[in-house]
Amino acid sequence: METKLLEIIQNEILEFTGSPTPETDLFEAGLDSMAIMQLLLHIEDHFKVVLEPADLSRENFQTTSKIATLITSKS
Amino acid sequence: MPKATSSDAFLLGLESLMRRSGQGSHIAATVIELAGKPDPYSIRKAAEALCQRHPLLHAHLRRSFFTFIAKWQIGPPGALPVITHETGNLEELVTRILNAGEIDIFRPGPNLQIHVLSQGDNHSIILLWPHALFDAIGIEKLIAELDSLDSIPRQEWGETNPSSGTPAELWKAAYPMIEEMRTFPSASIRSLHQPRRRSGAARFEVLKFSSDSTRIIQDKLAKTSGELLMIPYFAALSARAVAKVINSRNTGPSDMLVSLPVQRIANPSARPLFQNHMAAWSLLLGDQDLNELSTATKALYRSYASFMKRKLPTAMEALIKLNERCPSRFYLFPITHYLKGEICSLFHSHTGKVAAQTEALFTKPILNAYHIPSVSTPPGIGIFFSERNSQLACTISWREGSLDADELITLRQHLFDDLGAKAPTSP
Repeated sequence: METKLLEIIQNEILEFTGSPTPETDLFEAGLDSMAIMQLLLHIEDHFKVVLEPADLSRENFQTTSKIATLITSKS
Repeated sequence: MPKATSSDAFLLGLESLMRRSGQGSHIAATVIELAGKPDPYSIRKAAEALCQRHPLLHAHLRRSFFTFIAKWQIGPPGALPVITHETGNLEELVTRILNAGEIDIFRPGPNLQIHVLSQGDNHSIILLWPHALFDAIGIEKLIAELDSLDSIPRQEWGETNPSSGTPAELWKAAYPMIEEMRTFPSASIRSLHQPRRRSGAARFEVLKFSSDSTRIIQDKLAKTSGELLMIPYFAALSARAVAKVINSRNTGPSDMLVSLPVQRIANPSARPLFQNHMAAWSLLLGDQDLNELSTATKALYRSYASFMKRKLPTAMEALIKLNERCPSRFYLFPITHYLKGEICSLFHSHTGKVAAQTEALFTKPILNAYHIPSVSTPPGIGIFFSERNSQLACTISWREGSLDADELITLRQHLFDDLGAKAPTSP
């Protein structure tokens, strides 16, 4: 899942200057409110998980690895 | 001679509407509050370098006779106006310069004014800029290099809209958005625009929230929609406040069409400083969606999701590209036709942190910073949020004739109620 998620973020959401890893800080890479909304749609489409308001925290979305952990916990 | 981007062409439509209806031009101010008085000599030296570095700061627009696409004509670099004010009130000053009409994108001359206001211990730099040449990210980038003495010219412009093709191909790509616009007449979309009232000067009020109040607002945001979903939350909150004023006029139920500017390139370092690089997404909120803030936020997110899933962003980009040759005075005609004289219900944006990359200017730390855009009527109202040093700012911009004093109180009170915190109302 982590690999697929990173692929989505890299290809559809953000433009990275180098090669991102699961631990790359997504906020430093430009993850803003609009990008979060796009990402949520992809998460719904690809992983069939609808996240609740309480899940949408900076802590949970800091890295691809943390988002993957969140999705796994909701699956 | 850089060509106007397709996003610039969209804004020139608004510019044309404003000029033809006596609303001046589409100008915005950015206020940067500093901890200490900046040295005027240093600002003038930096302004001289800025002119050398960026020839578009002395350029004006002219339509091509053959393609009808507007192009910037670069003039000789001159001095950028740096005007110091030792006395006076910030609100009066910004209102005056927003309405003075001294920056004219169709005439040779400077496209940026730098005002320095010192009132006792309060010191501010105010940048006055035309929206035809910058968007909020552009101004952000300009602030980051405002005190640089580098005078080597740079070409910081260019088109970023990926749409291309023949007019027939663009029409085909844009068609889903045209179909979407054809659904608008079935909704009762209204704004604060009052056709029988003469539109007057650009007015504004800045609600500046302390760090403590901002924390309270963010807590409510986190509980309502999650701390990261700022855009639908603040857009829904703004739409609800405008709807409250419309409802107070007893004109019947109203649906809200929120126009959201969306940056085409998320990473500011990957886009040019000058020109506009955003699309405008029109998201509909039904009358029933507006009853509760949480419901309105979810409805706006659903509207966004539907917009994305139907690939309307791509269609919108193609439509913007298709229209770039359209004479400005006709540009908005399809929109106003489908919306029965409206453009949208309100302009709105949350630009995030202002001057995020800049700690200090001219050696003085930045205490606060926010934008004050002027708006056209229709819609006659814009509600814009931004943040600096953990302090939220909300700028209410309107046109005289669109919002009276009692309605402003209603609007402001509703914003406070939804935000969950109050703020002093002086800028």
